[in-house]
Amino acid sequence: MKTRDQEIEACILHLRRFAHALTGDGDRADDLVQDTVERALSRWNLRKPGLELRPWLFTILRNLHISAHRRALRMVSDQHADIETVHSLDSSAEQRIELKQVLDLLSALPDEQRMAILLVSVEGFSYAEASKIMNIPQGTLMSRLNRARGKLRELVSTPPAQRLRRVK
Amino acid sequence: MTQGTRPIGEDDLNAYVDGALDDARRALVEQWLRAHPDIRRRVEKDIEIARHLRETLAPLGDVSLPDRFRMENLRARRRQRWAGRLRQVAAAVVLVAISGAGGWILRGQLATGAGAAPETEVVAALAAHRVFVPEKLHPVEVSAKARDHLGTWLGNRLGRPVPIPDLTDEGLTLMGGRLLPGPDGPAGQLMYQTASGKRVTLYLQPTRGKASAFAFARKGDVGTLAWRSGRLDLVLTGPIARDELIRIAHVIRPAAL
Repeated sequence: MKTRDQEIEACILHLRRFAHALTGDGDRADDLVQDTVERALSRWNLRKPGLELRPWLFTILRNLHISAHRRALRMVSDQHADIETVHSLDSSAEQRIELKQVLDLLSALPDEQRMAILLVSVEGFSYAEASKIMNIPQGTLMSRLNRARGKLRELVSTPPAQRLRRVK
Repeated sequence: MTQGTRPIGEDDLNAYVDGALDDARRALVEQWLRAHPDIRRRVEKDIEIARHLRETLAPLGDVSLPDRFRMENLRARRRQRWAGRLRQVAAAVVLVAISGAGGWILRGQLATGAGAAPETEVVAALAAHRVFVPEKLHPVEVSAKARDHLGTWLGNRLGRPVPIPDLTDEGLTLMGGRLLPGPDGPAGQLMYQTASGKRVTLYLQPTRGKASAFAFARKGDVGTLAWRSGRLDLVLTGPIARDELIRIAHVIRPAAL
């Protein structure tokens, strides 16, 4: 019991980072992570033996994110359309602005491409793990990675934006 | 290319970027890239972008775990939620029993319940900003000369300590402040001015609830940055850039805990 809790808590920080980068919104990310862990607890006994905890939790989060996303698309009016959240961190304003720029950059990618690049490049999952989490063949994962990289290169080298300019 | 080896493909290039190649293959890819400078530049750019993403996002995963995510708290909330849902279901069952198919409307209520963003105070702050900023004769009710009095007076009316942040280092001189009718009672407005005469206001309204992140919105030429300190909802409004608003808000925030 104890070790299980510790194992999950250790994953939560990674889940929060992934969710934040995925949604671009710290508060929404934390709600998503909470739902993920609650779902995991309720399904603990259904978990396939030998399945590693971290990819399993990421899979749950990904599924919840997708269904929440579909729900949001169905909602007709979005009153907060022009309100964006700048998440508060215990860090300097410069870091915060840099984070905002990266989140903006990521938000320019389609959901599935953003997920692919985050899982592989930021969370360090292998191609096999990432394609399992996303429930797609590895070839599909690779082409999403390719498209994500192409788009990011294009965005970064757009002259006026200078979005990836290091602040320090 | 050496005979008998597979030609270098996009999959190799991706795996090179992600450090997923074994030593032999990586050496081969490096050799190939030396002969293809265009692609090498592309691949280097990809590596640079991946590193930037990783480094910038790293702090998000390197913070202390909020209480909300302690397993005992998650478990307790899960139990509460279950109890709540059972009550809702029970209520729905009763309603369906009473009104037949009419109980169907409850369906919609069961599906909602997400937290709302602070919006009414942004609307109130913008309205007050637009009314008092162009004012020539009486932009403020109590001038900056009576700074201490302004703080005590607003504090008494809002029912909690009200900060009068010193923003001179940010190039903003305090003009004074006034009491306003807010959506749920008294609210306050502080007004500052830059050397070039641009006016920035800080709207303050009592609240309860946990501290929040900054929410930025833009309406025409003015930007607003709203956040919650735990005791006050604050909205910073002015004809300045978002990053500038964030910078100023960082100076105000510690004073408004």
